[in-house]
Amino acid sequence: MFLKHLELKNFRNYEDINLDLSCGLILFLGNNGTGKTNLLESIFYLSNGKSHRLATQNDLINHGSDYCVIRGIIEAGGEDKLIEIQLNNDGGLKIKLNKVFVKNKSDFTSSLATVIFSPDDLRIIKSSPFYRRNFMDDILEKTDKNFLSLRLKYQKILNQRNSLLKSISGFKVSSSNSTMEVWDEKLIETGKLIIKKRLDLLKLIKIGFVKYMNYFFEKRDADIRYIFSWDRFESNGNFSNENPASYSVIDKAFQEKLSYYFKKDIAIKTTTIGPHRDDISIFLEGSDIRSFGSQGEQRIAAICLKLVELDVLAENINEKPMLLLDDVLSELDLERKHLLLKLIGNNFQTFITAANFDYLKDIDLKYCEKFLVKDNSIIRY
Amino acid sequence: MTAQIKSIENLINEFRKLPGIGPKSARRIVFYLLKQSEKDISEFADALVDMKLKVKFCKNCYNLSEEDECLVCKDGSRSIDIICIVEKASDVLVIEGAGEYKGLYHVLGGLLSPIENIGPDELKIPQLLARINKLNTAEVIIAVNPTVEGDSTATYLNKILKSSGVKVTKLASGLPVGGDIEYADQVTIGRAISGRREM
Ligand SMILES: Nc1ncnc2c1ncn2[C@@H]1O[C@H](COP(=O)(O)OP(=O)(O)O)[C@@H](O)[C@H]1O
Ligand SMILES: [Mg+2]
Ligand SMILES: [Zn+2]
Repeated sequence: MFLKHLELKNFRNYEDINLDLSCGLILFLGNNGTGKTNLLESIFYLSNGKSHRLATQNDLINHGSDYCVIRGIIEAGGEDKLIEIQLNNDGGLKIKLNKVFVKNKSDFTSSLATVIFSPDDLRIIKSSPFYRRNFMDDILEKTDKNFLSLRLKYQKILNQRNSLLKSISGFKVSSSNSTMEVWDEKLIETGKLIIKKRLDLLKLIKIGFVKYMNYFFEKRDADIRYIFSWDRFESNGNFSNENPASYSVIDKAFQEKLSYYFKKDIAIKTTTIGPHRDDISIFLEGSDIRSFGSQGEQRIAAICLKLVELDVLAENINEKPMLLLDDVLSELDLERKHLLLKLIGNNFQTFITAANFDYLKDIDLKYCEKFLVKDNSIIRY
Repeated sequence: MTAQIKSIENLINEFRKLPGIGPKSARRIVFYLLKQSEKDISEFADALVDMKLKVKFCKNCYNLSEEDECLVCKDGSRSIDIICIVEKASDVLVIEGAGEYKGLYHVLGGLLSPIENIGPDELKIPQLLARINKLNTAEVIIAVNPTVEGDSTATYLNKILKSSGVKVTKLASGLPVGGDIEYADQVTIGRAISGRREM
């Protein structure tokens, strides 16, 4: 699939943008802060229905405007899809697909895919478990039509349970306390489905991840393991590489750990057990890359995870997703940069941003479309 | 904004407080009322006050009623060994509309929701237990919407009722997931009741 045409009105720093695009390699050059990431964000929105930066709707609207519009034509499956999205600053959202209003974002997001590589991906490796859960859950949201509602349902149950924990005080005995059992039951019922879906996905991710790590670093032993919330408390952060998680026993373990940590949950007034506190650990040569990997290894590991995401999404929609490479080439050594570009080849429509040409020395610029990003406009170069 | 008339704006604001009424509809309604005769308007206003003064909750089942007991409770032809549990009084009307059900009701007045500080005591659950005891109820049908709060309330009721030996059933899953009893058609409701299953 590829983006043929892009129009922006009042999106971030852009008042009015109108671009025709080809299917190959497309470069956006511009100084820091000129709006390169903003541009990629709009392209990402067209197939994912959200910002890759977790921005709110109002963040996307030009300061001083009431609304913004993203309009694009994406060729997918041999036909053109005209997608028009209007975001209003009162929270309103209007979507048209081929000129017809549609109700849900999933009406266009389920058949399209864009993967963005950005320096922020390093957070998946280095930062809090939130980013690793999000990495898995975002893929599941794209590939499993029930996952989003499952995730929302779990969140609702969790909020209810947390409220109940807050209302229970050590002294007062209330009949509300007797409903805790019910919320536990619902939490487990929904939570175990989320865990199961993540574990199934992780099997796929692991195979791809090992393959790509071996591609970038010859013959390195790599592994990924799912870490349950209770494992996180009980191993003090030193996870062994053994006993890959299996879900036949999740029900029982979940129930036991909820009871075991109930007192603690009451004391800190929040639920500490469940998939909302799970994590994954990534190992290189047997040690956790988060604490022991070099910066370069961590960066490549993040890229490998994104390459796996690319494969999983491509398989799901049976199309080549669009690729957005935001400032990533500048961060790789020459050899790794070559390897990445070789993988991408001319298989994908690829948007690359950079602050200057130096980072693009190895790309044959003859075959690229080039744009300068400057003064809130985009000029063909 | 200079031509605003205070009494008109007041009434518009009152209508805007109603569910499903936005600023435009509120304005339209008020300008419609403005054209009515004084007699029509008095009757309308009287009807509002009259409703509020006369309607109260049934002392048995917390359904709406103009007397101490509601029409369902007073109707001698209904089976008194079966109770249908609903979230709100308007659900009684919907189920009655389907004409399938011939037992009694019990209106909870909400669903379990710790976020809103609603626990068993805020719902009419203690009263339900007392009633089941007194009437020697054989079966209760739980007819709440399949939302997170509805499901949890159903599970909770099942837990506390099972031990008392009463048969606990739940509507057949004819209702759309997350769907609202209020919006289901009569045939669907009828089927959900006749196809109810033990929990
Ligand atoms: N809603 C908005 N309205 C106007 N300008 C915005 C908005 N959101 C971000 N910007 C501007 O966009 C610029 C950052 O753009 P970005 O795409 O991150 O730059 P870069 O080219 O470095 O990737 C900042 O100058 C910021 O002020
Ligand atoms: Mg940027
Ligand atoms: Zn009654």
